[in-house]
Amino acid sequence: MAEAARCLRRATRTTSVLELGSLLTQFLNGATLVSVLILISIGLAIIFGVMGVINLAHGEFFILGAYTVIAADALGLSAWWGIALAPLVVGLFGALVEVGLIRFLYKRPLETLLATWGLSIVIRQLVRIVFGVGYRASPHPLLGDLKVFGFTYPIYRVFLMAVCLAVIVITFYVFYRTDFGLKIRAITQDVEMAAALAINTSRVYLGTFAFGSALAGLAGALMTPEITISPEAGVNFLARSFFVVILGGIGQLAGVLGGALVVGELETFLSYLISATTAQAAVLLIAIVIIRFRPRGLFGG
Amino acid sequence: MRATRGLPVLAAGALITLGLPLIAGKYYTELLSQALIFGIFAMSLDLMWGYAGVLNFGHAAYFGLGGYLVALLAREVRGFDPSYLGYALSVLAPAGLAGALGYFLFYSHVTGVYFTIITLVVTMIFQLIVSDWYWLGGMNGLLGVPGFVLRVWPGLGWELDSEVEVYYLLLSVSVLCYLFCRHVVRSPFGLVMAAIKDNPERTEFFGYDTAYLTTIMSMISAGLAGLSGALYAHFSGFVSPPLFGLNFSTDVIVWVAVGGRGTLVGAFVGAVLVNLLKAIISDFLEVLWLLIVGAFFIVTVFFFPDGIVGTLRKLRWPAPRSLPRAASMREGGV
Repeated sequence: MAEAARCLRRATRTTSVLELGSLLTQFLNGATLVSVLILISIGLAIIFGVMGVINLAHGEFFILGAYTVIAADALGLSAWWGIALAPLVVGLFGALVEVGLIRFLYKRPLETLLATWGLSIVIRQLVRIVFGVGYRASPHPLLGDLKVFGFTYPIYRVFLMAVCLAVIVITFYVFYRTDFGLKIRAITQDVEMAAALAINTSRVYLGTFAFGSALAGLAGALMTPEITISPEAGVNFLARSFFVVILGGIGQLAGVLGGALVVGELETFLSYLISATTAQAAVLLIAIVIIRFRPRGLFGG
Repeated sequence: MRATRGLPVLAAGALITLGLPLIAGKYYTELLSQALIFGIFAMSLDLMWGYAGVLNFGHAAYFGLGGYLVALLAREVRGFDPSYLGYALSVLAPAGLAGALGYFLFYSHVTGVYFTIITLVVTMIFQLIVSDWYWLGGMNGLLGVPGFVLRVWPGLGWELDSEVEVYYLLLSVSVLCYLFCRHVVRSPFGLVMAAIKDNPERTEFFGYDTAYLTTIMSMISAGLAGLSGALYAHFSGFVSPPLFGLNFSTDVIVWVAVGGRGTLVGAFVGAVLVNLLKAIISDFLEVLWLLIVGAFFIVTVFFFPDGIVGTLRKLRWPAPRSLPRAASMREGGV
């Protein structure tokens, strides 16, 4: 009760301070989170939608991207190199995982779930061994603010949103305008029929998994200046992106955008009122309640 | 036939479990006692995973809830009697939570992997809230939970001081819990659960309310997990946020998978063996342990899906190949 009253007091105080500028800042902070969530969740959604594989190591692919930037920095390369390398490194790693592990578990969701969770524990521990346990600082590639009409915002976050937008456009282009995308959609609908039509399903699966992993790696690399990087940072993003996928409605690429918008903006605005951890918990609770009434997702039929 | 063949195994098991604390020494007796508590916890997971076919990735939430309730009662209630009320609450509250989750998930036909992912998040929510909330001790947890008291009548009871007494108490509780679970899975209700596990659509078509029954099963499972959490609080004397955590939820899945899911006994076998192994290995190489846990997951999925007890049973009583049921279990088996 005391806690609730305190929250309420804080809420009323903040609303009096809340002006158009800070409202816009909050919205943009939310948009930053939304962008990152989209980058992570698109990979997760594609891998699940196409292959029926639930990748619990997706959060670890995210932190592998972040640690690629840190490793590049240690080698004397700039953060931009790290960001450019991360999707390649993590995508390649994803391809290896697909060939060595996932390939044997197609269409057995619960078993892929266990195997990838084991994989995520192993990756996390290896990262601890290689990079050490605690938090890591990383070089900031792009400091400075963007000023428009007297309103300032960190330029790096604007860059982040732009990258996300580009990735969305590329993904949708690949899915709906290329030969590879056509094959992916055919396999999603009916894998046996697709195979009978001479589509090399295992190569498409490999490409899909590597692409999804690369996106997670890119997201991790882009987030290095924004969050504290630790071996445990992945799980948090994993949970949120799963809710993005479920809220958006499984098997819909466009649903991911909507789901990310809801989760990201809601969490940012709530953490303005209550503590960040409680806000995160609240968003997840709200998501569970939504699922009760819209089991097919907010944007599902 | 089966019962008489199992008799020597049963006798040997009884002899070993009863005799162990006499030769094991204080350290290993306490380790075994803790493994028994974990065994009850693992068995409660097995009820859902092995018999309802639903894997809960956040089972530690129930365990932690049970433990924290006892610890809070011990702190807030003056003259708290650690005999009945704590246990009752620590069974009822997790069961209630499981009922609520069941209403939100099973009734929305959120089952299988979706349920697993959502429970993964539920346990994270709990850990976030508990570590953030000062009244619940924050990251430090709650200290000073009293030890076990065996009370036969108000005013008449024993405090269990020695580790051997505690071991025997936990052993008898474990046996009772096992018999209870065995009764549940062999009852008509348990048989319908087996049908739901094999083919939920068909069972529903037969007129069974699958959402309702699965929710009931998850409430039983959660109540048992809460009980084991309460036992743990009394046993160790303190509770902390990791009890709710994802890692602990992961551990219990490993115990069940190693011991053999869908066997009940396997839960205890897995809990004891893995915890012994952990105690031995962590002494040497803390770093390696998590790598081994990760490897356990992958290895059990690929090479060892039946676990220890399941594999032994298959060797002794090979499943008849010709029966269609065997085929359907292979397909439906997770």
